[in-house]
Amino acid sequence: MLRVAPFIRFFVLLWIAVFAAPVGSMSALPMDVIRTIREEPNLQGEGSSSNLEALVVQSLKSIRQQRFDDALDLIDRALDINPSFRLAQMIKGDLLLARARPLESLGNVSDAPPEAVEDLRREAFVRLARYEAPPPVNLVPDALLELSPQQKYAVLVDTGRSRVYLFENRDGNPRYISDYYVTIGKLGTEKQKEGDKRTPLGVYHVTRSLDPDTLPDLYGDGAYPINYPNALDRKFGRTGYGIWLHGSPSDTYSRPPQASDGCVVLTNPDIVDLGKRIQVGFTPVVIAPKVNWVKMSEREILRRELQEEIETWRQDWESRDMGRYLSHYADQFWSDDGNFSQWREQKQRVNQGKSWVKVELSNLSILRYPAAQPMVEVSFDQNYQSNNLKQVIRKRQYWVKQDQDWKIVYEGAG
Amino acid sequence: MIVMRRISLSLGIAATALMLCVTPAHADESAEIDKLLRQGQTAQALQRANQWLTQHPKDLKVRFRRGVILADQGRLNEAIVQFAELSRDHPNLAEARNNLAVLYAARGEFDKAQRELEQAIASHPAYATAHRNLGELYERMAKQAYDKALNLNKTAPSATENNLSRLALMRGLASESTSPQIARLAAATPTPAATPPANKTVVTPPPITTPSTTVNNLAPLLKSPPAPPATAKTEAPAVKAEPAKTEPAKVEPKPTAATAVKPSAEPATPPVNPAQQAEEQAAIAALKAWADAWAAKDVNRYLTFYAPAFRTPKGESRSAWEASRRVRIDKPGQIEVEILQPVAKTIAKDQVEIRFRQRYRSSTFSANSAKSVLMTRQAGKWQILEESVGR
Repeated sequence: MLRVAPFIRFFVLLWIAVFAAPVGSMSALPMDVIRTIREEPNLQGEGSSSNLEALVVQSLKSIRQQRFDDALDLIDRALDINPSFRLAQMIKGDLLLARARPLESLGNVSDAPPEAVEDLRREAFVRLARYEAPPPVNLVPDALLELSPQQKYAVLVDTGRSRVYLFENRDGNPRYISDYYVTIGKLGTEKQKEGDKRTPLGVYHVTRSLDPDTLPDLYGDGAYPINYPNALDRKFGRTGYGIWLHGSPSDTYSRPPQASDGCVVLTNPDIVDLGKRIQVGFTPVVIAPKVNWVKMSEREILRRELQEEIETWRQDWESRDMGRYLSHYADQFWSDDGNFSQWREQKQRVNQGKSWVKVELSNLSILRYPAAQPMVEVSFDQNYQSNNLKQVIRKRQYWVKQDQDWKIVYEGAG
Repeated sequence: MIVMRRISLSLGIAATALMLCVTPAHADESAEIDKLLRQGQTAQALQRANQWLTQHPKDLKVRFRRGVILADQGRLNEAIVQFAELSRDHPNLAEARNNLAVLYAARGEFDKAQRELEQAIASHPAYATAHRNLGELYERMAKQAYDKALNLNKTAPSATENNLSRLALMRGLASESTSPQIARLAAATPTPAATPPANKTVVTPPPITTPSTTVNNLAPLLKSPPAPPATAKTEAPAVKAEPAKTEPAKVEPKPTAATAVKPSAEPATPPVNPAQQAEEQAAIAALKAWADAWAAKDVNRYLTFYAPAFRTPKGESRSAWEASRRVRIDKPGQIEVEILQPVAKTIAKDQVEIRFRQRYRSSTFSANSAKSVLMTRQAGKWQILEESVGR
């Protein structure tokens, strides 16, 4: 193949930097788990985004194996499917240029803004990392402790790996369906205030579905707002709004890993695919810096523990023994109406008029909150009946484990 | 055509001696044509070649000359036909394939050009011109890919010409050359650089921001004194216990809100010439008329604001794009479209770029987004050549 080999050798060195970088979080997994990881992406039909990504990843692998003609062929196939895949265009540029002359850097175009090239390199890195360490087959994320029968699917964003995972609810247990590359805030995560270009970390749910035809092109083929700021965010004084999951502009297949103003951005094929599964008002969206993959048995222990705590709380409420009931609440408890002492006074006052109380919980969901302490978001439909009041509402609580005990720190309407 | 004229300048590279066996049946005729060419009598040379070929349709050298003349005259399609026929009749005639490649490249058909050059090299591995041309072609293709990768050069067609001018068109057949030059040319080809120092430019990508382990740390909330929280005097600055400021559930995308509200006058611009300013104002007026047509859902009028050369967002055909716009705009319900804070900049003659904020409002949705358009003036009318969201 022509007289290209010496040039291309340098080119390989440049791209090797992408491979050599530490993959990170998955290194914590035991070896036996790594061996049973999903080897290949689920290759769906033509044009499916995982197919497109697989082509680019395989092209990068071909480069590593010094099979450059194969690499170019794979890239051309990806670009046939979607010419606006910028990362693919850059790899193609480098592959072609390496045939002509020695490369000095990646993205060898004189007027290229270095940040733009760097962005594409990061995208290559995270996309490749996904295939180097795919989601483990026999493990589940500990974030999804229990899904209610209404939640057919759950969405889990791993901001550290620029990935969103879609899980199906199988009898309360998450079953992996697919995962997609995502873009998050320009300045990363831990959103604090409006305009800080960060993506919030927390447990949210989809609140609406917006018609893409009414939106600017920037939002692409779908947009799903989530309920940031939630009760915890508000407690922390966090501001801003309009955090969405959405698609990409029509001239861009995918955006760099960190490029949004805080939204979670997917490619258009992916937002359409994900959108088919989203149930407004139900689908949970957990945004975490890292997904903690655990064995089913390990998750089961925590889930049982919480189910029991919640059941005890329910029984203690029915008992009308205020001491037992209030023992489930943390001293620092807050609700939308006030603090713990206000809550206690109100509950005690109400309790005086009760001769019987019956509480039924259904559609229970327990999601682990990305937090420094063990914390979960619990939500359920609460059917409350007593001698003088009947009420059915959706409730949301945050439980935190303090000194071996789970305590409710927040309770409000869900 | 500028491109072709530049190519014709590279006559100097003419002769690489390839071991082609061409029987010079009528050597004189091609020499006569060459003489006319040297005298600058291109038209006569072509006429003479055409005449000769009616009698001697298979004359290799004259056919080759004719192709070169057509290329010189910028008659790309005819020149391509001529060299394609030659390649068909003489599959191993590397010069014909080389020239075919140069012509394809001039038309932007890089894939075809690449195929021809690779075939030329396959039949004549030492063919230096083809090697060089292929290198140039790869560079050109790489540039194209980079531009797409980095969204560069949307409006700079000049680069094409520069690069193509370096693709060398063969003026004659190597077999005609009197001085074989293989050795010299081969030596002159750029020597591949030695393996570069390993430690150069190998940069590990900086890790994507890893959040601190104190994500959503509730400690400040939990550790506060159990006594009635009179005036919360906790040390943590992040936790404002009281203010829990609930924001109304607005649907607008929050992005750019900060930059949006900046009605301050634009920074003092360098002195502009008033004529140019008037042009820019006219372009802005056209943009506002475009927004009005959109708001009025007058699709036909709306579409008249797009230049014939308008670059459709997904590269789809004009008609497909128009059809999709019709569907989108022609939806029931009232809408408002407003152009805010337009800032116009003259890019070139009859080309103005306008950056602005577009406020869109319907019964279900409102958005305020940054946009820019590239407008072009044709026959006194300002039209949109390119439309993009963001900046």
